[in-house]
Amino acid sequence: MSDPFSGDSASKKSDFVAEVVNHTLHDLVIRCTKTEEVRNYYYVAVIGYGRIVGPAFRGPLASRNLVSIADVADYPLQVKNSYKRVADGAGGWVEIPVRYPVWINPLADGKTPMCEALTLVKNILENWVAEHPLSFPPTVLHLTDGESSDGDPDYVGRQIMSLKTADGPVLLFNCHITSLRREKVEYPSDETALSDGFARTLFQISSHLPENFLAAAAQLGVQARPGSRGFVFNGDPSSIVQFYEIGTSLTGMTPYRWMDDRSESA
Amino acid sequence: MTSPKKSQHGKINLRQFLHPKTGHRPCECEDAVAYNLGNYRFAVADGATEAFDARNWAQQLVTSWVLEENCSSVAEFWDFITEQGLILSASWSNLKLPWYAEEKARAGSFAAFIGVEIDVDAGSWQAVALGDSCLIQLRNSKIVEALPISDAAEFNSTPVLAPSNTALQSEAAQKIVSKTGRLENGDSFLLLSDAVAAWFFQINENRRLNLLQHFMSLVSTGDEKRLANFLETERSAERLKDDDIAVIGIEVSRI
Repeated sequence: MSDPFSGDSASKKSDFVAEVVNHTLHDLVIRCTKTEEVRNYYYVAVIGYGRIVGPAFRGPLASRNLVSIADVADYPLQVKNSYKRVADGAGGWVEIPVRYPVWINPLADGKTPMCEALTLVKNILENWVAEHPLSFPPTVLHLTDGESSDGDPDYVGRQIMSLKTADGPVLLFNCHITSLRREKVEYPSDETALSDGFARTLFQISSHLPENFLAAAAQLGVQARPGSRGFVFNGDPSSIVQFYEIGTSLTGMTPYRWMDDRSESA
Repeated sequence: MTSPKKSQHGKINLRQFLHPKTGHRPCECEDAVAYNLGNYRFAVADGATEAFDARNWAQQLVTSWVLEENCSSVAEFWDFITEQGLILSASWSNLKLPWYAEEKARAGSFAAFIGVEIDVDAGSWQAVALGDSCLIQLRNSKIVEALPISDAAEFNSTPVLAPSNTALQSEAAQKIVSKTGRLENGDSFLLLSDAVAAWFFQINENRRLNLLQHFMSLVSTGDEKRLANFLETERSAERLKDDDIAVIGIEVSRI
C-alpha cells in the first residue's frame, strides 16, 4: 500500500484508501443523522492488517473492534477544515468552508496476513450475529493489494459467509487493487475472466450482490447483473470508491458521490 | 386570487387532526397544520425526517403561509419559501452544532406543502403545492379534484420537497403546482400529508367505500380519539403506512 497507483506518483495507495474509508464513515454517519441526532442504525468495524492485525480506528476509538455509528460520529480522530463546491443557484459554483472528520490514518507496513485479519473479522461477526439475530446481515468490505502471506483465505472466507441472521447470510465482498497496468475485472458472475489462482480464490469467497446493491451499482454506471459477485480484481482508484459506495448502499439510498465535491483539504 | 374576506354568504365546518407514527409522542410529529379564518387559508406541511430541523420548517411554512395575502402562484410561492428559508437558517446561526448536524444544516431543511385559499362568496379556490401532501375536493363523496397527486401509484420515497435553501435546490421551483377551481354548496376539501393521502387514493381506487365514508364521518365530527383508533387499525391492517398524519377537513356551505 505504500506504493502509488500506476501513473499517479503523487498519491500512495494507502493515502487514497484511508481517504475513501474516511469518506465512507462520514457518509454512513450522515445517512443516520436525523435533525441533529445520529441514530444507531449501524455498527462499524474497521480492521487493518500489515505488520499488525487489529482495529484501524485512531483517537478516542482506538483499540475498539466494533463501534456504534453514533460513537463514530462523536469521536473522530480529528475534524479537519476543508472546502466544498456547491451550486450558487445561478448556474455557477461557490466554495464554502466545511468541517471534515477523520477516523483513520494511512498505514502501509509489513506483509499481508489476510487469514489472520479475516479470522478476527469472523470472531467479531460471530458475536454480533448472536447478539443481533434479526438484523440485516453484516457486510464485510475486504480490500487488499496483494496475495495472502499467511495461507489460503478460502476456509476462513467460507466461515464468514456461513454466518447468518434471520435476514440472510453475511455478505463478504472483496476488492483487490494493483499498481500495475492490468485489465481489471469488476463484479463478474463467473470465473472465466480470472486467469490467476488467487483471483479465483477471492471470487469464490465473494458473495452474490443482492438486489439493493445491484441497484446501487446501476446508479453508479457499474456493469453488474443478477449473479454478479461482490468482487473486483486489479482495481484502480475508481474501483475502490465504487466498491465502498456499492458495499454501503443497503439503505437503498442513492450512493453519495463525493469524488468531485471537495476542492481542497487543509 | 385577491385576498378573500370572511364569507358573507356561507360558512365552513373546519376540522384538523395530527397523529404521530405508532409509538411516537405527539411532540415528535413532523407534520404541521395551520389555518386562518380571516382569509380562509388552510395548509398542511410534512417535514422530511432526514432533514435538519424539519419539524420547525414544516410548522413555519404553514403558519406563515396562512397569514399571507398572496403566495399562491408558482413565482410567489417560490419567493415565499426563499424568504422563509432565510428566516429559518438565521435561527440556526448561533447554534453550536457537531460536524454532522452542521452538514445537515448546510443542506437546509425540507418539507412537503399544500395550501389552499377558499373564497366561499366567489365560489372558487386556489391551491399551491410542492411535494406529496395533497388537496382533495369532494362532491357527493366523489373526488372532483386532487393535486398535486391524484393516484396512489404516484407516491414514492423521493418527492421533490420545499427546500429552505432554495439556492441549492433551484430545480424544485419547476415542481410547484398552482391551481384554481370552482366550488359548490356542500363541497368538502381534505388537506392530507402523504401517507394518509396515499391511503385515501388507494381505498378509493379499490372501491372500499365503507372505509372512506367512515373516515370522512370521523373527520367531519372531529372525534379525534375515534379517528386515531381508526387510523391505527388501518396501520395494523397494513393498508396505511406508519408515518405521521396530518388532516384538515373543510366543509363548505353556501347560502
